[in-house]
Amino acid sequence: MTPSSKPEFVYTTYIRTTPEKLWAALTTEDVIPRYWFGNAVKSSWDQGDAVQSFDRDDGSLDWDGEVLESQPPHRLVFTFRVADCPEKASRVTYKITPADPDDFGPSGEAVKFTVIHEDFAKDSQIVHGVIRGGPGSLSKLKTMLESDSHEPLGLMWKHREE
Amino acid sequence: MDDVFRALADAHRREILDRLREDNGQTLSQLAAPLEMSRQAVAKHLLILEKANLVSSVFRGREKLHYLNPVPLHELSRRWIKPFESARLETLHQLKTKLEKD
Repeated sequence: MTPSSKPEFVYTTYIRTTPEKLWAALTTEDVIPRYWFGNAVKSSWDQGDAVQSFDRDDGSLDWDGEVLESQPPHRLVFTFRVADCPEKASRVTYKITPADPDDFGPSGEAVKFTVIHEDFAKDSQIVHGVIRGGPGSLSKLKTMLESDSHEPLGLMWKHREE
Repeated sequence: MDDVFRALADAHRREILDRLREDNGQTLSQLAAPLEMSRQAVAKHLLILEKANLVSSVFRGREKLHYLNPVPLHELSRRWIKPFESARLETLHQLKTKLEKD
């Protein structure tokens, strides 16, 4: 394994929701802008189909890619190429797995959501910008999904805290 | 949240996070090599960091790669730092960094 083949970042968050609701939030055109920089993302999310994200202000293409794997509601892999940058496409993986019941208790269902972004170009110009945007979007997504829950995970993880 | 503070309340664990910030995606062996700790001790600290969600991991073949996971810290900063304060705090930080370098 060459050092460049390892992922640039791996973000994990726990959300009190179901895999199906999280999958819908990640793939529904009208919902995505609520946590993803306000920008729309269009795709059927079927394997082999295109993914396109457009700027909310002027409608220009922001980034695009192709769906490599689609296993609702557990795994989604797509390529990611920034429109105004000549670098090769990188790769994004969403993993949705049930959270460990030891950590969350039997009363509430929660999912572990992992975002992996890898395969950036060597000396990538865009990687730092992408990394900066990640945690904020994940926080907004979590807040949105838990906003109608009576028992949000709040600052995270365990139901008995907070 | 208690998990996060407990995990951060140990200098060795903060050092592990520092190492990951410098070079994200390291195996246990890579992490243990430059640290003055036994492999077992590093493994124990990593487990506590993973439980607190401050470290996330992926498998690449047989290797388990560890990553600094900033999501819980982001949640903490959202709780106590208002969005409009970020720019001012960054200015203060820049000032402090500059003065302490001189």
